[in-house]
Amino acid sequence: MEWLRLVLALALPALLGLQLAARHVPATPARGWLIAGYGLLAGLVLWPLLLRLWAACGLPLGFWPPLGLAVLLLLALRCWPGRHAASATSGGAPVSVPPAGRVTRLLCIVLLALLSLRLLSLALEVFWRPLFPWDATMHWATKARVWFEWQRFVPFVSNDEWLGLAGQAVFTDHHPYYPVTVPVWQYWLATALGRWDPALINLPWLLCYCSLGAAFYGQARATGAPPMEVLVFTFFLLTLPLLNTHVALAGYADLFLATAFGLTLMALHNASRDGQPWQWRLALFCALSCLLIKNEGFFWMLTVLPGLWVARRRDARSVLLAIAGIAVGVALVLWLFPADVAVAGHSLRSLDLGYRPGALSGILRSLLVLGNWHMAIWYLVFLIALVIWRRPGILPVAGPLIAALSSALILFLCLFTVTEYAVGAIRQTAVGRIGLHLMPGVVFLLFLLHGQLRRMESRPASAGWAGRT
Amino acid sequence: MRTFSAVSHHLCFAHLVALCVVVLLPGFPPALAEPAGIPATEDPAVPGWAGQELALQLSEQGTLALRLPCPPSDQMLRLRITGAAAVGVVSLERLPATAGREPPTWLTGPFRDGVIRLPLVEAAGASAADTRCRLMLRGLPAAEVTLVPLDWRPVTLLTRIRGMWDDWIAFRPWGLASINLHTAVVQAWHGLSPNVLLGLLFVSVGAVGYWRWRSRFLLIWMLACWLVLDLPWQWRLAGQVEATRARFAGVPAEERPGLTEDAALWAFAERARTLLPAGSRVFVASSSDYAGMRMAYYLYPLNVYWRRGGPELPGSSRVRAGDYIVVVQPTQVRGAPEAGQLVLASGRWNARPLLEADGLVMFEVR
Repeated sequence: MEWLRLVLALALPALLGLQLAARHVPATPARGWLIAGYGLLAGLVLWPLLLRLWAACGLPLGFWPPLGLAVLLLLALRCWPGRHAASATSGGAPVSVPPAGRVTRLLCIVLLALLSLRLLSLALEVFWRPLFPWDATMHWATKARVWFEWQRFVPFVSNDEWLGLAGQAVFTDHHPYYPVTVPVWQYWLATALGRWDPALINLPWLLCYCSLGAAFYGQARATGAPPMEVLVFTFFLLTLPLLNTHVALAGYADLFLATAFGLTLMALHNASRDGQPWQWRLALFCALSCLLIKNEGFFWMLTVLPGLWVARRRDARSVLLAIAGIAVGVALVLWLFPADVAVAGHSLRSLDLGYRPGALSGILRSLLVLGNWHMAIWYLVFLIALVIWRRPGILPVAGPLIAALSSALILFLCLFTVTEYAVGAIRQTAVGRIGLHLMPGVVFLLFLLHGQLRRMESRPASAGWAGRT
Repeated sequence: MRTFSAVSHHLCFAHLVALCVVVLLPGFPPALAEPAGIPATEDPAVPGWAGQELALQLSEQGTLALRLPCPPSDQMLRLRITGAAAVGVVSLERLPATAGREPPTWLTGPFRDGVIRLPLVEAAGASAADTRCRLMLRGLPAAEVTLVPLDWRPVTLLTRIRGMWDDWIAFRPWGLASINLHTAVVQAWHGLSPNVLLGLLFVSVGAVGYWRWRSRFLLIWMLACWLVLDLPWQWRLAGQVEATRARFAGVPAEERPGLTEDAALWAFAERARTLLPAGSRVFVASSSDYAGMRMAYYLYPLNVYWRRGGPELPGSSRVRAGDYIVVVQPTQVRGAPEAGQLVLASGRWNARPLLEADGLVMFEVR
């Protein structure tokens, strides 16, 4: 019975998300993967929102009442006339896939076997290991533990407010105002089990991992790339050691934010390329989801704006202009913005601005020397050098993604070189985790750079250099 | 790569327990012992070194420290340890002539036929002129081990590469830092990183290969390099899963924290929660971020107050009779049970101890 409740607690919200995604994604290459990827993320983000809305309406929490709502919503979505069905022909044109050779098929099997082994290894850790990492027990699961016991979303306040209120009807922890998507999921699974299980409450991290992989595969296939090439890059993404660690030692929200931001960037790229409205909607939804996961999500969401600007103009020069503009804009904000005004939990005064020697080497160590990202950054550096040399015309093709990712990189560098968070780079306590938010986008960029080089090689030499930037 | 049986041996239960024990031990290293039986010599090539056995017992805390003569240059000691399964970590460092030292570099292995290769690490302030070193072991309490120093060997490039390989594929349990970074290797002495070596190899061969075969070669070459890094990572993940299974599988979920490094904190919090009415206000006092934070976590869903980086307890006007204070070592707060008081830097509070175990005390404010 316990397992049945657990399966229902995970499956119904996931189905809701899948159903929603299925209504938005038309026939396109790898439609199923897109629905799986974006649908799972939709379920992960929207279900806590629904639970909070349910509680805000004064309706009883617990397990069965919200589950009843989920069933009703599922039925409604099922019966409501849909805009897209699997057989619909609108959207992208069908892509012809040449038959795979024996070696390719063998490689495909090996990679899938390795990915399955990875998923199994991570799943077993999630099943057995009780909540372990630092922040998980400092400010994420604390709320879930209290809400499960009280069966309502009692408020968390700062230490000082708690003292001022004498702890009456309020609780406190180290970060009371962080977004609550993650702890609401932990609360929900504990409620489904009917007990506090410090291991099984982390099952959503597995769903999130699957969501990231499926969405990456789907979006990469939607670009028309060969399945084998897409599989290789999906393998790269899903085997990043620090990303794996965030599943195995579940409890931090960084994997969720990495997934939401990564899915935003991928949808942004394909939306700007093909102008499909449903891709724009996916990008918008995922960008807004970042706000519901971590405070940093607000800043990552902002980095999409230069990408949107570039998408409107669609030329190489605007990409460089956008990147330069963001660099200047960030410098101006750091210089002119009122020091006491807090945005997403931080004010400039609290950031204690000033260059920190040692931070840059800490960042480089995290990216190139440590094992966080295997060879991803080495590959990126190499491909960028190749692109500068060969000029395959990547800026007009992937301009919005490059502009958004570059903006995020500028913020990342600012955070870890001129604010008090530089200590997180020097001691390697935060630079890897924040870098994780950008890695799905980086691997997608690797995929695009590689694909553009391949396409350039297949073009006739006379036409190849015309009009490139 | 070693066979799975060799790794299984490495992961045997005794070894895991030893690893857990050494993580928890306070106050290490102990005072140095000066055992007879290992000749003091300046010459690493003296034949008398090889084959001399030294049977010893780890202390009740599972520690052992020996002072050895060492060569005046970068060398590596091959040491045979009988009963290696009971040994969690080993360290060898050159002793400085002056006082002041940093935490030692601990090695967990690998052991090949009971032999571990220990690089001579320079402790803070030490120089090659210092020819005495300290060998330290941590493992199961009172475990009996036999040490046989085989020989000293010079540290060459090949030694470094081999050291990097051993370091790379060695089993390492999850640690608190694991969530922040993935270190393919942790030992500094060999000065090599698989990522950098493979990165440079990828770039150099990739450039030539791209010139000849274009992007198709590049992807295959990247995948090959990636797999070279990823297979050891998968290997380590498998080892970690096995360790997790051995520790937690079959144990009811709610009791699993009792099998972690937090066992004492968790057990205390469990007992405290049964004593207190729901909704009680509990203040956690500790000057250790980790211990205070974990104790607070285990005390939820009580109404817990713990402040990171601030005063351990709020002013006395904020605390009232009927509140509870859990004091977790290390702390500035002291109990004076005979006087029924808690002693803080800011004054004394009337409080009676309600529960005490493993150095943790819960007081009720009166």
